[in-house]
Amino acid sequence: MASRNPSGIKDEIEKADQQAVERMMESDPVWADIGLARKVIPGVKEKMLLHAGPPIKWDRMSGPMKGAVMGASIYEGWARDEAEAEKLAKSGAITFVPNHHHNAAGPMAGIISPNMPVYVVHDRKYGNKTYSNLNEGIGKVLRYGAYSSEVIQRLVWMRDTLAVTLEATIRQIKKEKDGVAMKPIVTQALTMGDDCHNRYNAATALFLREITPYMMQSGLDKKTLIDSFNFMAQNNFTLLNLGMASGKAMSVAAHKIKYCTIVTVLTRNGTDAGIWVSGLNNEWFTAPAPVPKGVWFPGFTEKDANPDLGDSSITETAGYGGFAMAAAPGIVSWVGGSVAYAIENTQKMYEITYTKHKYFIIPFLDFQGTPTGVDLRKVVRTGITPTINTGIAHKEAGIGQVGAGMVSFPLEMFKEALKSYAQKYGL
Amino acid sequence: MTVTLRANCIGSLAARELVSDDSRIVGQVINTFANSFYLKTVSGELVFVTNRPLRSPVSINLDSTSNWDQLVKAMDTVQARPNEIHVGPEIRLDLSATSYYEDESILSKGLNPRFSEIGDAMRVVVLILRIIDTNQSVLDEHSLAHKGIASFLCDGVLPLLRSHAEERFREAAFGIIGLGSGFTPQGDDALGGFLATHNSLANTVRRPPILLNFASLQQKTSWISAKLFDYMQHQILDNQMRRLIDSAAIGNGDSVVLAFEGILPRGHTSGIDISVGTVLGLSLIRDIALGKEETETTIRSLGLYPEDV
Repeated sequence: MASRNPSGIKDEIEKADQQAVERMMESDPVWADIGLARKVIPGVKEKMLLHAGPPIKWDRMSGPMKGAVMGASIYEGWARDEAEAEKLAKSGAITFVPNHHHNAAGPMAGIISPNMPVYVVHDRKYGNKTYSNLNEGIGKVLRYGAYSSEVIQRLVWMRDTLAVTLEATIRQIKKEKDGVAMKPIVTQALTMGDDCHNRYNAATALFLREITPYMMQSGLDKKTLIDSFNFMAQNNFTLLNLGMASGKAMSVAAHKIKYCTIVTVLTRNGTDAGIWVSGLNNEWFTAPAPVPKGVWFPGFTEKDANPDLGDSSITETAGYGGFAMAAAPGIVSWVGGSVAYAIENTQKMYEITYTKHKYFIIPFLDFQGTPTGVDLRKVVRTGITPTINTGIAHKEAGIGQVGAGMVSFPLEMFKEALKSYAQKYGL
Repeated sequence: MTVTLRANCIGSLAARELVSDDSRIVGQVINTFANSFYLKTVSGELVFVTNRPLRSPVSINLDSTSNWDQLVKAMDTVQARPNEIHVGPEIRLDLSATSYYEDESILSKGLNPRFSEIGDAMRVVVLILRIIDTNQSVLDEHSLAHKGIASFLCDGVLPLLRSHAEERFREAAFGIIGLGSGFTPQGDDALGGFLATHNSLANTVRRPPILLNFASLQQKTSWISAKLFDYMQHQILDNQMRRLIDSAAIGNGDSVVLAFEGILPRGHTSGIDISVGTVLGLSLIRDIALGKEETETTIRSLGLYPEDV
């Protein structure tokens, strides 16, 4: 039974994984621009929708994903109503592509349509650009599959007012610096009770503190500024999407490193969960998406829940979010569980990660770094899979968010990935 | 306060030992962990009660995820009741909606011609074993069992390529029973994996199964470990081991690798130790079936050849 020198491979893995987590931690994402997706994301075209999770066709999409597709079609003017939108999607006229294929990440359904404004995040250290859409708030919103007129009107307002404000603001900021550095905000927010996945209260406040002086100097009219400010200030999830684009930048920096076993994408589309592994490039490994366990909004139960969806687990991929739950005891009132469980979850994630983060630290754990760099080998060896916190969408299109909770990724896709890894590097 | 835990599956041997319409004592708790415990039945069988999904003839699977070590105590009496099993004063296992697991193999059909194609899958498994954390397992050169296993492979396993080496194997095998550390010592796990595979496939290459005397086993290791080993050598297997061996027999390499990966997380190092034994068992049977001599290379690839240790 011939084999390459296995110790040699182990050494190569060690070097590659070390390099990957170093790049992940040293990545320096800044919010640098905002623009319509078709103008700023390379490869985005008319009649193309980017979506969360691994690749999926219309016929396998879950209710909330279909709802978001229909809503985006109405928003774009491709369809006048739900029926036309559904017919269009079924016809094959829309191209569906994962956000991750375009260095983008979107929460829940994660739909980014050509004329939606997106944040552009620039990694000052490694030069990569990553993208995310703007946050709409909670409840009846497109990313949870709602598409009523109020949802569409809000999206239009976000494009015509909020994005205009943010564009004017970033222009003002860039007169003085590269943009808004995101790593310091995440770092500080983790010491202020955020986990930076499902709790962005502190991060949103820190962000607004930083950009508001520039907003005020932007020259826009008072009403536009006040409306934009209030919209962002009243939404604790304002910074989620920038946090995700930042996490994407960090994980892109660690991606496509030969021999590397670090996971660089963890995501779900409401039907399948999927991962990328650095040393396996853009090969998807998927398994059925699990249904989260959580706390339900009034009137809803777990019977209403759709299997998990969203690219937001890019935060855990980069070493925060659910992996930093011990930093955010307050989050248990939102996602359920207990403070002890939040701490236990962070502790457990150390068992499957390569290192502790240099910059993201958890005061409650004696200022230890967060668990960083999910190591494919450790997941399969221990049988422990990444556990994240998440929003929960109704399983039917058009309804929206019904709760928030916790979910663990299925082990099967990690086993498939390690098999594929061993076939690639061992045979 | 009595806590009722719903059993979703009971294995055939566990059912035979513990299920009764009469109310009577059927066993005793001997070890407890956070989410599992072991029972010894009055007739001397071992039953594993767990909330994990692993199915086996000697297991009872429960739905509950709570920690039981506060409720179940070692030495608690186990009593059969109609549709229930009572464990100590506080736990009631509800069997009213349980399914039944019986270990069924497809091996009566013999080896599929595609069995010859599992070589690549075995190379993949060997590579996985070399790149994951194997600290304190038989693959760890600093572990207590490493050298002993290496000697056993040379003195006991490789001679099996030739016929009539079973007695020599037994002598070498007893040298590693009880060797190592842990709830089930590394030597027991590795040998168990080897014999589970070898004995399951032996008749397909016209070899006799090799069985070690239970009384002798008990003298060298703990009763629980001896019992678990005894089930393996008699091919009383859980569904993961069964899937692994059956997948190999039909030549489904992908399924073989995934089954191996499913076993790896067991215990502290048990999954790795069992996997090492199993891959060597498969390698040996493959050599015998195909007239090859690749087991030695497999041993070397795992870093277990005596000259290299």
